[in-house]
Amino acid sequence: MVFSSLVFLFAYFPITLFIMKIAPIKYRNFILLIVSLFFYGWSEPKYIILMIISCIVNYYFGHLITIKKNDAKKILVLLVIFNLGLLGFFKYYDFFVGIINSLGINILKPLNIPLPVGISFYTFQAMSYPIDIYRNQADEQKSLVNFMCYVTCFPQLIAGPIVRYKDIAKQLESRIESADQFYEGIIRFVNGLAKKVLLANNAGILWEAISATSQDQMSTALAWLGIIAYAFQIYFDFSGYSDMAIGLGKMFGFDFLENFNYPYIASSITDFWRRWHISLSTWFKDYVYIPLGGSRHGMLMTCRNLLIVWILTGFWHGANWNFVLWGLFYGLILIFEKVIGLKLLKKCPSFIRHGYALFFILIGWVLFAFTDISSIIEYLKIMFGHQVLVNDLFMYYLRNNIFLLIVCTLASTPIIYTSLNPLKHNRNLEMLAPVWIIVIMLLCVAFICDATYNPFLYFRF
Amino acid sequence: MKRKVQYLTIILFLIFIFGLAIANVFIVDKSFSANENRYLASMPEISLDNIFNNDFDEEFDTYFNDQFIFRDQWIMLKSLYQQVTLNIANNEVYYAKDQNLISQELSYNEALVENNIKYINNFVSQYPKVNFMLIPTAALINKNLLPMFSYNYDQLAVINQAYSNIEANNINLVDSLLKEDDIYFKTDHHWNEKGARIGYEAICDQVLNKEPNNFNYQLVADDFKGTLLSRAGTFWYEGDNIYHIEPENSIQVEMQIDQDEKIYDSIYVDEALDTKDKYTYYEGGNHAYVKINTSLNNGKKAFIIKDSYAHILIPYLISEYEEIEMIDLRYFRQDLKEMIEENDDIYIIYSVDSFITDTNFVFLN
Repeated sequence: MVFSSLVFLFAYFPITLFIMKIAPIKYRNFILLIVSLFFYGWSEPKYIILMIISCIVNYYFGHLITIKKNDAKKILVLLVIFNLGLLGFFKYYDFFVGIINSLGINILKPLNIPLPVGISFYTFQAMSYPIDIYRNQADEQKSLVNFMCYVTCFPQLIAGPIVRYKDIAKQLESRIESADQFYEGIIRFVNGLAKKVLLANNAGILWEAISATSQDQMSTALAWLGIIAYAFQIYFDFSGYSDMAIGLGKMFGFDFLENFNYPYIASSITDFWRRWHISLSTWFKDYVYIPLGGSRHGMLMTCRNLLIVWILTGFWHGANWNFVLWGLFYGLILIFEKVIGLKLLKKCPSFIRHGYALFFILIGWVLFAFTDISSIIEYLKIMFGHQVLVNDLFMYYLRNNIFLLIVCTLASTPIIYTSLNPLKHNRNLEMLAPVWIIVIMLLCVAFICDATYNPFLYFRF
Repeated sequence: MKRKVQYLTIILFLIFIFGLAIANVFIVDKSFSANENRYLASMPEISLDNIFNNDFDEEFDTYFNDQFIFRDQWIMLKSLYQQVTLNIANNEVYYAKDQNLISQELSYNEALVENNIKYINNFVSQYPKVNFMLIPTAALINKNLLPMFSYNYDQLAVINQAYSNIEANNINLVDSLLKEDDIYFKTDHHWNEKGARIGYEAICDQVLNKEPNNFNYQLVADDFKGTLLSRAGTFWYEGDNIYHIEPENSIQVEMQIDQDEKIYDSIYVDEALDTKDKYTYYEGGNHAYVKINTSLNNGKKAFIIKDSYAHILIPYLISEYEEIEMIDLRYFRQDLKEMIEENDDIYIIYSVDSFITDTNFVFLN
């Protein structure tokens, strides 16, 4: 189930909210677990079992580490193997079989099993628990229900933010649900919904149309417009989802950490990755980069560690070469920045720094958007030196999406939020909050309905 | 003060979510959507098998979306928002001047067009004379009504390509259509009675070699809201007029649809005026085969292979022919050779939009 669907908004959500609010406090984690499992199982009921197994095993590992301090390291190795094995099997098995087969060794067959939704997110989340215990950063959770509630908690189950156990351990035991927090949650959720439905989806339609345009109708300007639309789509989709998750969390008394911080106003790629999908880069930093030695063992080792982390980060995004390439691309730029780039950038005027960052972010999105390498090369070719610079089709798309593009640009910067955000202690503006949420909800429902609206031009069969 | 606004926000939000959710439970399911011209999904069966082995979730999702409360109003709100936020098109329909709606086609499949030309040529070569009419759409003829920066494929190039490659008696229409205004429905993709009249005049001039007859027009409906309006979601736009077109010298007709037993005594289907798609007033809409006999005793017969643009042309053609047979290649699956008689006037009448998308020309042969 996705948040931006009518089924979620007008069936699952009101029922869940009602049950959660009338339930006695001490049963709320249990009920949250049940509704989360239902949420998860809605589209793929069989995979509920997989998630439950993952939870129970990691919970048990946490227990083992607590009682067998001497063997903790061995247990840690086992639990990493278990979790990565699970993720590897469901997410990467077919990819590796494909590689082996392409080498001419046909011993294994691809299984073509559908990817369990959210497995990349909940695996990372579940395994952070025993690791945090191992590092003495968290205590053992006495209740399996609480632990499962943490892993399966439906607001962040499918697309993050990835919550580290130590960040939320206290809230599992007790949390305060106040009207203040509920109000903040509503604003946050509605803003996230608007990002997803009004911005990301429409930017996505633009990107879909442009990326499907035939060669002879393309132009350089159109290719750039396309990848900018894609950049907006992926940012508002993802950060909108995080906003909705954080907002829903607040409604139920949780405080999740922020996941995005205006990534497109970054002044370097290093800065971009501090602002983009923060919970993922933090996770990799905490659980991969630092254990590898981080930047403590000289420049050479630092570069090695960066490369490893970024290839893994890329690969985490999907079982395909282009994601590895995308990770490698960022790894190399980050190494460059670490060695010399940041010093150079410091001397540049601000618009060059931002231009530089945006340029590479957009190139990065080309690598991310196409799963086959030949399409990537083709698209880059159009972006850099197609014989047609600007064409009528570009003018049409620009004209028809001008409002969307302006709003997306503004919403990528803190301008709107700092000057308009009702949460920012501006009493007069806060008066607009009720109007704002109603207008946005109305528009979002209108767009969600329209997306399923299919008028047939011709006679019905 | 601050707290009051917060509570108001919370209450409004809850009313919105719970209000719609509860109201949605109580509305009665509809089976058919006139605006979308399709059947709506119904509640899927709840069973373990369905849930674990089939796509219960997707079916339920479709059902919930299809039957959601105020569905048409939501669609309208989206269209309104698109207009207010300066979009020039919605769901591939341009908001053209004076509340005209014009379909958007950014590109076309060149290989398909070449194939269609080949099929038609193959057909043409088997008969002494075939009349071929490509009807341009409003995107070409009403170009001046389109908003600035709108974009469509080059329709004129397609017509020229077809006319220079198809070896039939190709009927030229573009110039005479360009001279007139208001020849398409504002809310529908079809041409209207005025456009079809120009088509008829072109047939008189380029096929029949005679002066056109005169006709009387009687308004039978003024609220025809066509498919473009449904697509664009501009439900607040005014509807179009539908006319009964009567030859000055009154003619009796008998119409038979799909070789059914029922014989109509008119080419007009009055019931269609009570439905949404009022264009089906003309010969009852799309059918595989329609046969019309008139009280003219001139022995002239027409055999028309067509899309729906031809339907509004028929009221004019009944003043010329004793018998008209009309087939739709999308549904007609009999051998054409056996149907066509030696002295038939053969017509292929298509709009350019169908010509570039229709994959059924293969059935000509």
